Amino acid sequence: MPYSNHELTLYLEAVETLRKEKKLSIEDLIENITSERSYRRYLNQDLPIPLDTLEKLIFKLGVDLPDILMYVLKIKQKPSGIIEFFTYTHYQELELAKPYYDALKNYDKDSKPLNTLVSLYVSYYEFQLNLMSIDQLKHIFETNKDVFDASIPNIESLSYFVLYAYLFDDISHHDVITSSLLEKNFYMSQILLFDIVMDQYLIVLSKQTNEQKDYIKLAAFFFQVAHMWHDAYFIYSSHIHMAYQKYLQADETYMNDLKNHLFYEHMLLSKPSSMYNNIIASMTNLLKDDIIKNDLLEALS
Amino acid sequence: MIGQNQFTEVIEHLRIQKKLTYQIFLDGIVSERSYRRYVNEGKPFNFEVLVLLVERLQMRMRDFIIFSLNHISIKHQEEIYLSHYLDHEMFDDAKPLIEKVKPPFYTHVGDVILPSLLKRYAFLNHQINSFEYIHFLKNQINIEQLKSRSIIDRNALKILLLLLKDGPYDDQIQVVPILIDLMLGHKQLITQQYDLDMNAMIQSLARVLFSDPALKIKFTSFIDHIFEFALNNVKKHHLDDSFMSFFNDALDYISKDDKRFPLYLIQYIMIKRLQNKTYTLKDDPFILNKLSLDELNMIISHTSLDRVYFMKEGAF
Repeated sequence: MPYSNHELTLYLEAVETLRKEKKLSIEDLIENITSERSYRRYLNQDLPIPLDTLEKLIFKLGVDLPDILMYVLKIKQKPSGIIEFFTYTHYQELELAKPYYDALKNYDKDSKPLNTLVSLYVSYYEFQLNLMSIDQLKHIFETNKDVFDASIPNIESLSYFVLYAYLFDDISHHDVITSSLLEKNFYMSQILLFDIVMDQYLIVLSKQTNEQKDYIKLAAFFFQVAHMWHDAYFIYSSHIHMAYQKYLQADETYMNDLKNHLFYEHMLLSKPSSMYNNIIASMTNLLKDDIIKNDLLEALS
Repeated sequence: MIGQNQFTEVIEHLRIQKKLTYQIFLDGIVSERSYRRYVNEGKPFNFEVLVLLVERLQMRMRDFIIFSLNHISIKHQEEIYLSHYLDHEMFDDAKPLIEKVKPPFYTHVGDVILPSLLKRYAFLNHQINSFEYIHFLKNQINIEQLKSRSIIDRNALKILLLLLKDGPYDDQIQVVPILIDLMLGHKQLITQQYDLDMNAMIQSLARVLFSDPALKIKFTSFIDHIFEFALNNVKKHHLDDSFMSFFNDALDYISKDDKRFPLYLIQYIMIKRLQNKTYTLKDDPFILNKLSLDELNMIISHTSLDRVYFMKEGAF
């Protein structure tokens, strides 16, 4: 039976690629594992390769199965820049986002939901450049609503409904968004998108006095996930939400988290951010620069 | 090491999580009886079955593999933590786990990386001598072969980095050209944690070459290149660990007259304060070897924070 999933061929292509790179003959690779005829039939997808055969071939090449797959994905898939574009657009780094914007303006290489999501981020980017009004942006979002599933089973739908909530202060999908964020395990494999979504939704919830309980729960979860994946942008965001959830619970150490957030801001951004101004203003009257300057002077004492 | 049978466990975990009945999940792929036998006996699925089940879960194979690695790492997270603590020299945290985590190991660090880090720990605690430790490392790889190979896997990379850090000069000068080849893309790194592993490699290379006078002279023609690469790497991948290491190395690399020096110095202090709220400059010999407290005061007081935005220089 031919394979129904073309991703399977990646393993075989990987074995073949590495065999050639290592200048190993087919005879040497398959020795004591399979016949040359079978190997060629596996390659041509005329015959499914048994897992133990594949494992033996990979073992002979001296690498692990997951590593080999990721290697081939790296080699075969040129990075599209989607995550970079979403990240820079989310953090309002429009200059840094520009090359990705140029490359993704007419993106259509993926599934319909992902293509649509990219086009919505393109519109969001243009909105930030004042090339369109908030009403025009909302109209574009409304027009594309049907592409996404309101039960939010996948990361693309989650991204859409959260971005909608973030841009238009709409929390009508609150329950389904919260359960999707907490239960769908997107942080296991789609962490970079998940973190952007989480940050956006926490900013939405920080303005809702009725939803403080969910804010606290999500902020604690975000802090854990962001640190698990080592990405400094998300650690930066998770610190401000950790600070605010502590503040809401009258934990006085919140200023330490706020300072951490501000330190990260200087490492990661090209200019001061205004994204978290409301959250910061609700915790302190001090200016951001004064908080940092005082801390630096303390390091001198 | 991750066994294929662990994929079976993950498949069943995801089936339950997605609330799929056996009937719906297995329809046309494998009988319920066989499936239960695979799961109960912890046997690996035939690859074709695995692929179809992953498809039935509406996952891409790539996402499934990443999910599985994370799932297995979380299940055996003490191995991962121990490896992380040993790698980052957090020995107080590592100590209680060393007694607890014994072979066989189950995760991706279990084959070579964790055993090597445990040997290093034994060496640092004088339980074995330097010869035994370095001999163990060198037995894990074949340096001569690695020199001519166009691909290097994560395990070999880790051994090379330990040799660079702890090995004698004669070994270091064998290892550095291989790492430079990786950095320049003349060799490919095979790993599912490409960003993290490349970052660890560049950090180690920069740290050792910028601070070791003999190696600095031997590889002088690569020093500028390594700095540029480290700078681009930290901006491109923005990995949390990379910032501390980069600003530390940058202060070793650039001169006090360089206009970037005060900016990198302030970033360095910020990270130190981030890591330790009681950090003070007067207790930091690395900085005091470069500047007096008066000079530090001058820099902190007169540098406008508006200038201290790392990405202001451009992305990469």
